[in-house]
Amino acid sequence: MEHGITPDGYLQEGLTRPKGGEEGFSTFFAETGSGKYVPRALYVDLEPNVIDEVRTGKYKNLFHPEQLISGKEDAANNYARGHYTVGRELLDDISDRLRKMTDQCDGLQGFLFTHSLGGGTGSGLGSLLLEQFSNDYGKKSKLEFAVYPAPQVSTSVVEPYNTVLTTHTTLENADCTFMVDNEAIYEMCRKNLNIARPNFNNLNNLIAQVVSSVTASLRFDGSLNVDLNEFQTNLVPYPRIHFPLVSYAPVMSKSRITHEANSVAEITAACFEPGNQMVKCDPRLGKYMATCLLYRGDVVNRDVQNAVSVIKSKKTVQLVDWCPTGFKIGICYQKPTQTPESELADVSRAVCMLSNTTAIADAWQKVDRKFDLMYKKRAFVHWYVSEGMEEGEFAEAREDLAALERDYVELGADTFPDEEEEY
Amino acid sequence: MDFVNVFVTSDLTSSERRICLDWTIEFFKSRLELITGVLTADQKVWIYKSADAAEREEITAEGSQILSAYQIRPHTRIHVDNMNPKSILRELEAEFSDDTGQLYVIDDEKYKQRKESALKWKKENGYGEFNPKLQARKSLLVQEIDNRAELFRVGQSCEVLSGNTSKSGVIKFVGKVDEIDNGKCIWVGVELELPLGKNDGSLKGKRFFDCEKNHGCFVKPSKIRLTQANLVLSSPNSENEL
Repeated sequence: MEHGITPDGYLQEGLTRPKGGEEGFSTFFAETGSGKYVPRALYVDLEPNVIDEVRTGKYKNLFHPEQLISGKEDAANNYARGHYTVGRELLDDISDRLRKMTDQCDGLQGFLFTHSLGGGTGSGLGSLLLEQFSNDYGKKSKLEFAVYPAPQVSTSVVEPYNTVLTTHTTLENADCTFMVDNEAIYEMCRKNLNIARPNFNNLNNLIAQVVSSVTASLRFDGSLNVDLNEFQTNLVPYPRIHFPLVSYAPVMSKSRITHEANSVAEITAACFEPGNQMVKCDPRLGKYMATCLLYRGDVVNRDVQNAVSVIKSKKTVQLVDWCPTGFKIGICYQKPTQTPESELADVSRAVCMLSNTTAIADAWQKVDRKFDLMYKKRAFVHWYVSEGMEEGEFAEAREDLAALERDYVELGADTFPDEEEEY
Repeated sequence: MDFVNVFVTSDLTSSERRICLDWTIEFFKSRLELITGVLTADQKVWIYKSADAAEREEITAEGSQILSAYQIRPHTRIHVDNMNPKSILRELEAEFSDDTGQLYVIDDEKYKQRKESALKWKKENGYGEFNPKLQARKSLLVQEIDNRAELFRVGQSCEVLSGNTSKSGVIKFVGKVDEIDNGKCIWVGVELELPLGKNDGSLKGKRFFDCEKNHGCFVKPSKIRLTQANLVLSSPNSENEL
């Protein structure tokens, strides 16, 4: 929609070329000889139902059938099935089709993965693919959008196992992982969008808007448009610590928007509110290693500079002392596009903040704690062992996560004494 | 085949799932086991009339029957009760809600030996505690703080500055506090006149001085200004004055 493409892959009436400029647009779409545009995307699932919906749905003509890959049997919430047994059977097929697609790229920059951490397919097959891509494509950059388990209620009882196992496997293979926790999104839908009982459609609409903001700089040409690669260099000082916290503003319903000014200062400040974060944690208790603000729409640089200086003067924004932490700014003049089913209001500007904060370690700690309680009793471990996984992998993965938690402690440690502290 | 999205809940889990109404009850229950962890034999499965309604119906049909024997509308809730009081799930349930569970933390030696770690990286790049310039500046700052502290004695009346306001009280403690910063700096413990503090003179179970709840606070020496007034908080008269 943002590029003026119809659901069947042709240009909207009245357009002579796609929106966003040649270079930006072609990052995510390939043009076929007949004036049709095809997204450079692969959909993969171990069971057919979800993908069948794409095959028969509104966008069925947008994709080439080879882009939609599904198996016959799902992973049953089990990392081992996704990684070793059921998932591995699809691996060659996926690799072949991906190769065909990358052969059509003029200058392959990297890959963007979207998967869950808690389910069997997302965690097991997702990490298997990341490993495979590292083998096949070397150092090409790999970014992830990962649905992270909610802190309170799990989607399945073995979610903590799946999350720890997949994080261990992908830690070396992914360059940057943007996490989204379902509970945080649920609350945003309920509180800000007034949806009493949010379902996947509501959640996905919101997540799509965020993904769109993060990738906008890759898709649209523009003067103050900072490339995502540049953000990434800035955001990830040390390779293991590659989980920036994502915040988005405004998240506002159609009925409320008429009462709000929605200025640059307001949306910038809103990004520092826990209610606008995609993962539940408290950045006031952590330290910032890097911060990027990606604006889109009607935004001028002067307003941004003013908004940032207000934020910097706040005591609650603490920075680590081992590197100079600036705010990196990007402005893309394309405003967010409103999707028809979404409750989100149509706005003239929005901002997405990516910040590498030590506070996100909190999210790992919550999963690790659940993992420990379950693993101590070896609860449900036999589900994994019966798929051929070795029990030692549990301990190895958990050790790696413990080291990750410690990494965050090390990076947040050792700041100057703060004169204002009171106990 | 007829698929619907429903919310599957149990004591430990909640998720949106796609189910097929052509499944047998037996198969459906085996799926529920993999989601909720409740063994099929221990399951009591309820279908709610709608997502919010209290009205519900138990699945009691034979395992070989088809799920469409029940009316399951999109986005209704299906709840699985665990009827086995001795199951591992029951134990987990109690422990998850209890925050005291021990978290595995990597020990120092193991961490130092790892091939990749933030500590190693800081060392290699001369960041943080491996940056001599920064360390020198830091010890200077700590020194300044400590020097100021030499002015203060227990029993002196003072004001604690915070922002544009101040709170009056009496100095009750001057020294290092492991519980705050592992003994890095010198802290001043103050008994405040009004309950504007954060503790009762103790921190993390260790007592530094005695005072009433919320009358105690610990601040850096730079936040203390001595006052002339010779308040004696513990004298019986002061209570009448307040």
